[in-house]
Amino acid sequence: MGLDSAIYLLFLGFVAVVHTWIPGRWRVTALLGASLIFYAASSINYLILLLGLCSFNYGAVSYLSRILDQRRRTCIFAGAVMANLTALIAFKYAGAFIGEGLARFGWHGQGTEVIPWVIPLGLSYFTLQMLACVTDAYRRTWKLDQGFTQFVLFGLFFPQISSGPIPRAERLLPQLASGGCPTAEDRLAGLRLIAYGLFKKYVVANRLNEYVSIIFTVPSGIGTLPALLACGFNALQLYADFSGYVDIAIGSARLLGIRLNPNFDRPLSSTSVTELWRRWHMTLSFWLRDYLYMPLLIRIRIFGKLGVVLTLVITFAICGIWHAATWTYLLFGISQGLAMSVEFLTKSWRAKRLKRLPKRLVAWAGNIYTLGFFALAQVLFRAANLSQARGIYSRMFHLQMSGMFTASPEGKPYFLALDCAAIGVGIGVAFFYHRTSDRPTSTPWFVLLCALSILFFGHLGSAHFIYAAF
Amino acid sequence: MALLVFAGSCLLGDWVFTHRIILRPVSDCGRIQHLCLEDGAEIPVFGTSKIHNLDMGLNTFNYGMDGTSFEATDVFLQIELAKPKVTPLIVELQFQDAGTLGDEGKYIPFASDPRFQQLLKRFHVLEWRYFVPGIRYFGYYDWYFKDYLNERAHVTKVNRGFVEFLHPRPFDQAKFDEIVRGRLQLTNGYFPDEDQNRRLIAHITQHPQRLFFLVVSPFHPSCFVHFQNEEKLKAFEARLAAFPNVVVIDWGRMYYPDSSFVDTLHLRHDAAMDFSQKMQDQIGQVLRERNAPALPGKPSGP
Repeated sequence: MGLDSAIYLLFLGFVAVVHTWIPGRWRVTALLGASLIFYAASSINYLILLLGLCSFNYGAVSYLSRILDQRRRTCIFAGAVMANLTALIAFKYAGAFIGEGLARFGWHGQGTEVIPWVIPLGLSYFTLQMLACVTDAYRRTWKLDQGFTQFVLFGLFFPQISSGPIPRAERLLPQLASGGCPTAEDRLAGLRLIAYGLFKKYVVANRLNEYVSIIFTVPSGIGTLPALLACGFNALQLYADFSGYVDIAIGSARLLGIRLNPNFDRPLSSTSVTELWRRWHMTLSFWLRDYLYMPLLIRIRIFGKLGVVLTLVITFAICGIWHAATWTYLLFGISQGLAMSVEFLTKSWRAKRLKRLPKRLVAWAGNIYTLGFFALAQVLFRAANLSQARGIYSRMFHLQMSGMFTASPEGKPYFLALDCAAIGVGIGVAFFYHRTSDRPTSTPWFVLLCALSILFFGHLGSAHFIYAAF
Repeated sequence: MALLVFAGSCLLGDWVFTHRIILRPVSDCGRIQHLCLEDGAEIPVFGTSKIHNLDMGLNTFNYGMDGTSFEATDVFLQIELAKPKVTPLIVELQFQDAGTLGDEGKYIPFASDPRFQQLLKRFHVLEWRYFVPGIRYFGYYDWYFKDYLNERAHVTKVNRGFVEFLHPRPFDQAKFDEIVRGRLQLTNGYFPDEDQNRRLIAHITQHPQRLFFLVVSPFHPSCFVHFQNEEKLKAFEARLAAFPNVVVIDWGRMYYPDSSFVDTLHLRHDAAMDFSQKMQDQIGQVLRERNAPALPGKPSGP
């Protein structure tokens, strides 16, 4: 049940109506029931797996919150971390590792191919969520005060289970324990977000995907300009697709009176890669900072600046691998870590040199550099394997201006103009969204604008959200 | 109020697109509508995109469409053969069925017709919204509009159903060699679907008053490398030719140089015109030999 599907919207509408009309004491049960149904629609077997993991983590967190003996606490903590990581590795990476192993012995296609393996819905996000709980309980920065039902609901809450945002227990659990009590303002804000998310997905992301997928599939015949355009469109598509999904998820939760953490804060206006990662997929970035980067940095701080560089590269290499066990994701992660390292090492040097220049000019230059670098790196994120990524990069830097714009025989540049017009509509809707965000009375008209734009400019394109694959 | 505006806009958009863009005589939808409404003396041509650009002359109307499998042709045949007509038909004989429907957008305006419903159901693409005016074209507006733009910008010209690309890309031997290499990696041959063959024969035997020209248009020679089941193909063609109302014209191996092909299946415009002329002569000759009633000449307009 994709968050952009008609069946999900009907399901959400039904849940919202039931949630509003039932007495407050039944709301937690209703939300848990809805979450179980949502997950069971994907896979009942994996629902049992996740329920098992929830129970295990609940036990571990309760124990860590209760006992004082540090040795026993460490054992419990290590066991819980191992159990969560084992489940993640077994279900998410085993196929890739087996494929790679077989390829080494010449028994299977290419090394980067992943053996088809059905990954449990949202397992990656669920694992990070549970690891954060266990770690916080171990560090005593958070204490479990809620019961088992609330904890399971926290683990499986349906708007965010499939692709985040990754919630923190101290923020989400108390809200879920109250069952949610939406105000009229919550409902309007939820509707706005859902409409805006669907708009981003159907009008911007799917439309850009049509062009980008053609160029990525047939990189040999294309010229430099289309390759560069596809590279930029690819980054924009990923942003529209993922932030669209997050808007729907946050909007769905808001409709039920639950406030999830924001995941994007205008990342495309960032002036450095470091800043971009503070604004892009924020819940993952902050998770990496709190549970990987900082503990690692503390351990290797004796190496000074080299330690910081090492920590950044290792953290982002793991971030890349978290998406999937392929060379392209690994290189994507390393490239982000290296860019941030360079920014870290040159920070004071840049500050001295650039202080004489107008601030606005520096910000513009920084924004162009950041978006350019990020778009180039996103080629690795999108490419199916290294050779495809190499093909796209080689088209971009070969300076061949005579290549075709599209691969289809009847495709013409004005098709591209039509796509650009749709992006223009997208920018207009975004402008309207931000201008009217403090005026709840404009919500029906905003939803109408989104609905009409989706109907007339919407593109079915790829059926699923890109991040649903992770 | 917003809901009313939404409903009104949906219905208005639906009406404008249906009548001004989708059902133009030159679009795929317009051609399907033409098939449903035509009841005159036209000779229909049914098949895939392979025959899309063939202008058979006479009084033909080309219903060849991208990605069409026999299942769609079967529905078109049902509609055509239900008419009280006696004109011949030209049907493309396929070696292996693509098993695809092409873009389902072309069938959405006809989703209320049970025959098209069945077709969409068979390919698991029938959706409830296809029955709801106002939202039925969701996701397809730009597909229809791009088709419309191509025709308005004179990229394509459609006349009596056959499509001509007015500004084709120049022939590129290197790119074509790459396509041929790809073709050589595929399995080529005749792979019969007994159920489809049975349905084709049923159409033939149930309508003895209609003369069926079963045509194989030229393939690139690479399609015949390691060609499988050639004997089966010959046997099936002989079986079809034995029916008194069937003429099999297998010109699949007719030679054309590389530069005559768009890819290994589709002829470029000049070659298609040359082939069409030959086919037209052959069909004319057969009709004369059979003393078929004189056919009206080529109409002057689209």
